[in-house]
Amino acid sequence: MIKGKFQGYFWFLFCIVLAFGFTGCKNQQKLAAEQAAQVKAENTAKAKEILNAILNDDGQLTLAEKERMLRQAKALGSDDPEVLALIAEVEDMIRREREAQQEPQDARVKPEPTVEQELQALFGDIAGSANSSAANRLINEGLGMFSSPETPVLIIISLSGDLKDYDQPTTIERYLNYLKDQRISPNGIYQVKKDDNGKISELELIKKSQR
Amino acid sequence: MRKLFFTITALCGISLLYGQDVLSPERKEAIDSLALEKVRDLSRYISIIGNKDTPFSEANRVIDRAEELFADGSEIGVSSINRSDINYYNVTEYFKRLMALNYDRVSIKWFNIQYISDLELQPDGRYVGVITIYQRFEGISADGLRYMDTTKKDITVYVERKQTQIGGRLIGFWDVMLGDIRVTETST
Repeated sequence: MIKGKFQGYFWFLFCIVLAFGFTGCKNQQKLAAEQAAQVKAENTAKAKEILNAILNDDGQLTLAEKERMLRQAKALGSDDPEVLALIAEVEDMIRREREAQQEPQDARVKPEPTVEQELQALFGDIAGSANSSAANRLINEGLGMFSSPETPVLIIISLSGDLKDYDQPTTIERYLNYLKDQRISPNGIYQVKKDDNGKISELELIKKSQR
Repeated sequence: MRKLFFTITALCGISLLYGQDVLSPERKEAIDSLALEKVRDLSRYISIIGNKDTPFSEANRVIDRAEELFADGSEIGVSSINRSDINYYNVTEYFKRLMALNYDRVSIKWFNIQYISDLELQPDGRYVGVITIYQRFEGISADGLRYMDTTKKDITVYVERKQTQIGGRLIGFWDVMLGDIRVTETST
């Protein structure tokens, strides 16, 4: 009789424990899920904040900092579509900035223009100047490359073997003004002689038709 | 026999005289082109000097360059559709008058620049030829009156071999000098 009564209590307690156990587990799972959702939301918000900070940067961040922040945002693991779109946008921005930074570097490694190329560009610029003031500025700048405004300029009109036929020799100042007046640059560079200071002390040109 | 000797001697003399400057066709062509280029240069200088927008100092500088193209004593002819005579001025006077033309706007263009008489070697060692040009002149006065004419002009060209010292060495060059500019036709 007592045994039967005890058994009744046991089953009663068992049922209560079981019931509470299920409820507790359920609550724990729910809590965990809620916590996970909260973390996810927080991560998403954080990722958006980081990514927007990169996109809205007004020049304060370096490219390396932007790349570090992007990695940080990605590490938050958000799969929110808006975050994924922002990541793509930031990646594109960083790629463009990296390319832009590389361009001047590439330009730096390019060989310096030769004196012949500089002269040819100067001649072309003077001949193509919009007005005489602009041409005069170029002439004054260009004269700095020469020993003096009186630096002789020889112009080859015909070249056969070692035999050279020249036009009347002129000076660099007159030649540069000639280019300004005539608005054409009819001669190419044949030979450049420099003085001890690296300035051009004699210039030999050749008619472009003879080249 | 004596006659033959003199003939051979004379031929050798002429040959020597001319032989020093006998040019290959390529070199001759280069000199022909050089002379044409000087005429084109003058064309541009005239356009700059006549242009009312050219600053005074620039015009004077260009006049100096233009004058250097001419042999001493050269003259330039000026005609008009309003009169039959042609006035000739020395180069300096011509350019001064050109700069001071009484128009508000002046446009001068040269075209059809070509040889009418090829450069030929002369006994004095110079090459002489004649280049013809057509000049289109247009002047607009302050009250809007427009004067236009087209003149055909013949320019005598002299090319001479000269030498100068550059950097301690002797450089031979071809000196192109323009002579008289004669008006041969004037039309509207």
